[in-house]
Amino acid sequence: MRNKHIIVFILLLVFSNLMNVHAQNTVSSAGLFRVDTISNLPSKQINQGIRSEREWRSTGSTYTISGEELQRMAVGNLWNTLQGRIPGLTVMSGSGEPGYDSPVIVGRGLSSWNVGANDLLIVLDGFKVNMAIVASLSANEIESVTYLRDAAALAIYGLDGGVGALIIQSKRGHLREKTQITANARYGVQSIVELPTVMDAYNYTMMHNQARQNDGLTIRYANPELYLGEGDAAHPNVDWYDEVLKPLSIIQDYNLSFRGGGEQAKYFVSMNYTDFSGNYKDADAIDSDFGTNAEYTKFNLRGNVDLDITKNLTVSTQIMGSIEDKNTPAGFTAGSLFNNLMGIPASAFSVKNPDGSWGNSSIYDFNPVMLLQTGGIWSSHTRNIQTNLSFEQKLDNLVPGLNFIGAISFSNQYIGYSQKRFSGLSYELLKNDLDQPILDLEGNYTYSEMGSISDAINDGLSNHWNRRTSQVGFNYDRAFGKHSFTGLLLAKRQNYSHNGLIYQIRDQGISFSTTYDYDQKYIADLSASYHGSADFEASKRYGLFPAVGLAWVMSNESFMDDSPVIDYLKLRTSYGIVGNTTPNNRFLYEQWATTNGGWRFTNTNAWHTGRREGAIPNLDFTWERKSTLNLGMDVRLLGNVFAQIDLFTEKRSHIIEDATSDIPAFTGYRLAPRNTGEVVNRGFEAVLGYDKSDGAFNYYIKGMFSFARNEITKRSESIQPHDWLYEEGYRINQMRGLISDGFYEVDDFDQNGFLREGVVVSTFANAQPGDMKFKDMNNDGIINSYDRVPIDYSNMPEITGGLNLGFAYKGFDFDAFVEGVTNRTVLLPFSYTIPFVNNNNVTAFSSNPWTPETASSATSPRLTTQNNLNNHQNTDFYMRDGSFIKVRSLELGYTTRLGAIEKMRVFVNGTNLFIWDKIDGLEAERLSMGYPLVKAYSLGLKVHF
Amino acid sequence: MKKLIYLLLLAFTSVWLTACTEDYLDIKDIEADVSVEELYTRYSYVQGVVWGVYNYLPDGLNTMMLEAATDVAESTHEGSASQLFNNGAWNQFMQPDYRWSDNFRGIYQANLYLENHGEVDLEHIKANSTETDSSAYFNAKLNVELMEGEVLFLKAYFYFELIKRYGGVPILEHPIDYEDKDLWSNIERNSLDDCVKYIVELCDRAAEIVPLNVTQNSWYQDGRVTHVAIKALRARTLLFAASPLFKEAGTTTTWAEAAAAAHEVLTLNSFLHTNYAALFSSANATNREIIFKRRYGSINWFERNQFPISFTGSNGAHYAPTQNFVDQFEVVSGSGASLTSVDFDWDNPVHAANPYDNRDPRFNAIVLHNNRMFKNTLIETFIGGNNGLPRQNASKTGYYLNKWISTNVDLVNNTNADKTWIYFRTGEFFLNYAEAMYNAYGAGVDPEGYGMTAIQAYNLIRNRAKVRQLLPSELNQERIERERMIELSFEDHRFWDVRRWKKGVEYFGEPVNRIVITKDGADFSYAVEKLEDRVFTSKMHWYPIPQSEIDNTGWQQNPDW
Repeated sequence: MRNKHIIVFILLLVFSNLMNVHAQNTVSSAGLFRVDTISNLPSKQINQGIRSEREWRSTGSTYTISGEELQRMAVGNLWNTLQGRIPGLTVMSGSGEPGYDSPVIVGRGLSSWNVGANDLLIVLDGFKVNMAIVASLSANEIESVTYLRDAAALAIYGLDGGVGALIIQSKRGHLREKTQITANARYGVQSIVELPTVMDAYNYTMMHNQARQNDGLTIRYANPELYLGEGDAAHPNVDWYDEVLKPLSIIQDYNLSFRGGGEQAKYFVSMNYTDFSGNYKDADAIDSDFGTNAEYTKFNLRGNVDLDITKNLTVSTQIMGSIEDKNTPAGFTAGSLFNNLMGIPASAFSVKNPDGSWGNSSIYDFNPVMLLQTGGIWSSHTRNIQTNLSFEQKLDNLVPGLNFIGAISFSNQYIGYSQKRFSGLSYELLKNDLDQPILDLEGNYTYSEMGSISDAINDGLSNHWNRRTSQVGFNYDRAFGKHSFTGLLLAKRQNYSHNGLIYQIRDQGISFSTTYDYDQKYIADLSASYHGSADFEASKRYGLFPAVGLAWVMSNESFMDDSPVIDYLKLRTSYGIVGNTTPNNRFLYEQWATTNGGWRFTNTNAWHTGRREGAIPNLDFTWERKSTLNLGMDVRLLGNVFAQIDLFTEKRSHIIEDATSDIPAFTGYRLAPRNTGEVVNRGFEAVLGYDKSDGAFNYYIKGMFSFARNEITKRSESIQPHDWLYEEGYRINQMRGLISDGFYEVDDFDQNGFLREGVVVSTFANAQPGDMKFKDMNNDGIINSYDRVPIDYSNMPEITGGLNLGFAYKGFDFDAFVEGVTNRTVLLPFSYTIPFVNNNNVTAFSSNPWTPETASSATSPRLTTQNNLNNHQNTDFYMRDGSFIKVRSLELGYTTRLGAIEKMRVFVNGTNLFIWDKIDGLEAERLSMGYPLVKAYSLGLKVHF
Repeated sequence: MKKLIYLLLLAFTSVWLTACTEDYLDIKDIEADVSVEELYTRYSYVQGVVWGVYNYLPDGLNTMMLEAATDVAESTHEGSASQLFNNGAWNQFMQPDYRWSDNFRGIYQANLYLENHGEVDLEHIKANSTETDSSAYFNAKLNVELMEGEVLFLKAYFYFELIKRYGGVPILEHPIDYEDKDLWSNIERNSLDDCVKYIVELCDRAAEIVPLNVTQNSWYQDGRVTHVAIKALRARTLLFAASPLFKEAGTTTTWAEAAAAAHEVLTLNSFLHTNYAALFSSANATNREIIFKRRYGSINWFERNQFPISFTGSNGAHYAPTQNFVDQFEVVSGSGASLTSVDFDWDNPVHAANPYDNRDPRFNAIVLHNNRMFKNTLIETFIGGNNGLPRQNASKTGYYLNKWISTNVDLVNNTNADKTWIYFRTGEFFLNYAEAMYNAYGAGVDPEGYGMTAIQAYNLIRNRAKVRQLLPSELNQERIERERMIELSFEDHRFWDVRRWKKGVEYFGEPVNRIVITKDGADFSYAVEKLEDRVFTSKMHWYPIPQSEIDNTGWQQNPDW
């Protein structure tokens, strides 16, 4: 933002006001504005970020949910309130760790394989922000969330809109006699959804012995029965999950907001405090300086003010700031902790030795309880801020219906960390080959000391970014009899920089849209954006992204006037092109010199770094683009029934990829990535609901269904011997693997232990009876990587469904939301399915391994302690159907008046309560890996003064 | 009217605001990168380009995997690429030794250097010369000339690596311009003979530029290309070109030419270090027997892979010598003048009772056998021993590798030792000379007056190894093959030698054996058993051209692939 621009900005403001003041005495412009002559038209404004439009008049495919819906979920991260609620938006939960629980959000499926290329545009109060800043907001300050799906809605965003957009609007003030004061409090108790089951010490040692025998090695545990029950100091039976995790944790949320306004100013002020704690047990048992539970606290503050400075000039400002503090134990990361809780056998070592010292083992070198209580604290502190200032100056006296608008926005996030890290001594109880403790002369246990005592303090920056946006333009709203026009012309400039970035990310452009409707029946919308980014070569920076939308409000036709059934019916279609830049691919049109290995010379072995020309540049470097065709229908029937259907087909082209497959390698060329990939994506969204809200007993039911399937239609790949080995023709991230065909049986081998003729040979390992056998897909007699075929779906579900129902009666209200996903395939993690290798534990997955006796009913391969690459391959044997149904929220409330309190509502709420899935022993959404997901039961109070 | 003026002012300022568009998106005001032009004009960067070309030379310690794809060794690691060779599961789609694009990249970089090296700017060095000392400038000037020779040698080396795998490949004298698509879309493979001649030509050009006394310049760092190295590459290429496989593919080189070239190397350096084992120790970098080498610096990853499994930190990725290999070592008796040796024979009860006693001294330098002390530990490879089966990741053959291993590496304390890989050493050229002379003229004659007959060269190697000298009548192809197998084992020779002799089916198609040792009290009993079958068909003497290349060029694939 150069100073001269600010000056010009102010000058414009002044000029326009002068013009209007000057023209005040001229003809008034009343009577020239259209009025909704036909009732029954849904005229709620849909906020589309830069513009907003009445629902009946919008030709784009959008879906809006209100902030009230977001309040139904008792979670710490605002994004986790959205699972399944918006058709077309797939929200896959992240880990359950407080503060690190952001979900993956994908709109209408995946359409590119590049990193960052499927990120939705996040617009908060009209300005682009990063996902992380929205996570810190509270549901109580959100007015609505709108998802923009098709080109008609997205084209005005140009290079930002290529994937889709989520428009988040915070609450504004409104005209009110008395300021409305609202207080919310919610206190909830959380418990872990599902943890993997591991073997107890006795079963572990028995199975370990069996595995060693299978390998022809001596057994390690001479007396497994010593591990039964509680075991003893030298033969422990430790339930690691139980030692580290406590069953319940707390989540609480408090909010106070003021909303109101008079003629001159309308305001909304809100304060919120959330505390989301984790499930680590007794973390500060020794000292709160040494150990900490996982905890996430956030405090946010918002002030939104809309001022009517003069009759024709409104200025609004939104100022939001939040502070997030995340504490985690410094002795481990959540990922490594849960890997070890699952991976350390119950028989490995006791938490504490008989002499009171911390137990440990040289093989595992990880005592979770010790690390939790004495490892120290990692503390992360985040500060977020967003300040927006915008104005609208009516220029009716100049050109009736014309407004001059402009805005600037500044948003910033800073994340710093500080760590106190301590390490101490632990002791391994020594045992001999017969698994008995080695005693000293007095008969005491002997130990080997492990680790060292040290402490360290460090702190610094983790991450920070800031964004600046400035925009100026005109909007127009005027009717001439039955013809009505609205329009927008906006020039925008955006600037984004974050740590580690040498050259800022800058873009600017002009957005244009105009919508025309005739007699509120026929609507045509033309929008376009001429948008350029600094990432590209000077002459290739700008692109035009146009879209056309057409709609027909059929219910306004005269022949539909008397229809007893149909109240409102609109058919719409749109087609357009939007673009997308990705953060890792910039300046690919340039060629610089770069390093190239090196060589050592002289007797000091000195390294001499080599250099070479960089990759041959992509002179046609440009943005990825997506063209979308959308057909939709919105309908209201019989007063209470509503439905919305959208069908879409999109083609994403110019996808950046390494396109060297058509260049012969003898040229020696290295090429920069080129824009040659293409993906086609098709699907639909449907919503059907019934809403009765006019009597004593009101109820509603709403079902949503969305489907999206993509296919890679162009990918640069080298020639493969078989069709199924290509990525082209299949979905992005398609699951692939070998097809299992039972196990190798004893009969498959001859008396010398070599495979008989005709039995398929595995190139991954020398197979033995009990190892997995695979299907030879290309009939060449061997199993190798050529037998890997696409299997089922990918990790991202193609189908998401939601069901929302509720009722209200005599002060009681009830709401339930259930989400289901299907067409999803997951791969069980290696650490869960493969026992013993790398000293791993045995889980419930291997409870029925292959032995010659159980050959016909075995559900996992023979037990072995050896590395056996054959049994470690990706195969459908380790894949599962990842479909699940989850009850996301369940709420029952009671509202009443109480004295001065206008309205008081008490409620009980359950969040993420139940799950039905098709996987034994694991929870389907995250496969119970890493920090587990939690469900919450909470009690709340909402008071309006 | 005023309305109009204001409107125009408004429009003007709006346009002015948005007119400064170009400025805003020009963010690369300061160049933080090195341009291609600077790469070739700045002296230090140009040197960097040459060092970057060295980078493409084969990584010997890592390609030792190829030895495990011969009858000499078997990899303990089941996922090793050598297993693909051994079970015949490799082809034009799946190549375990994929060096096609790396060598061509090296050639491209070499060509780019040769095309652009004239642009280097030494003015600033000249400007820094004082009245009495302008040596910096003249040294730099000489260095730039010598670098051309280095790059020519490196380019020849890359071509040699390509032809010994694939046969004839396209000869690229200049880097092809990417924009000229018609040119590079229509290039054909050259014949093998043309390629051989081109390599020889490159070596000759390089030898003219890099003189013999170049190493007297102290600023010419040790490890750079020398005159002897260039002659050595030339000689090795001619030896390969005269061999049966290459002759069958159309080369015109004769054994006599190969002999002359090998002789030329030996006139420049005929030093044979007295201690065979010291050639592969961590102090070998200054050994005069080594002609061209690759320094690895101080490392221990190789020991991590090769140390016997009982050592903590060993990760079980050994290249374990096979019984086929161990059987080649002769049994020695006597010493000095009465030194004699006989072939090992399992039917001889004296040999069979103590098979590791009194073997060719190179045996202990190369192989670790049962019941031998290694780093103060007794190595037990018998069944159930600390380093024997069925222990996980123990050697499958009953032997471990001792060549190239530095015993002072401590894996627990993570200490390192210097490691230097040998590309050329004079030992190889004595054997090259012997083979070429024998095939050209016979075992005991020297018609060209080189001063050494085939049998004399051969015996020099045996003399250093301390096994008996052979009589001229005893020298035959099989003897030569065997001596190479032992002397040059684990130095990236066997894999190529057997191919150039066209003896792949005979050596690599037969099963490899292991030793099964049973401990009985204080005694051991030995049994030779089959370890695994190996697959080798005659088409495998040449690698297949990668299928992706065939599809992009339309070339004909190598025969039978």
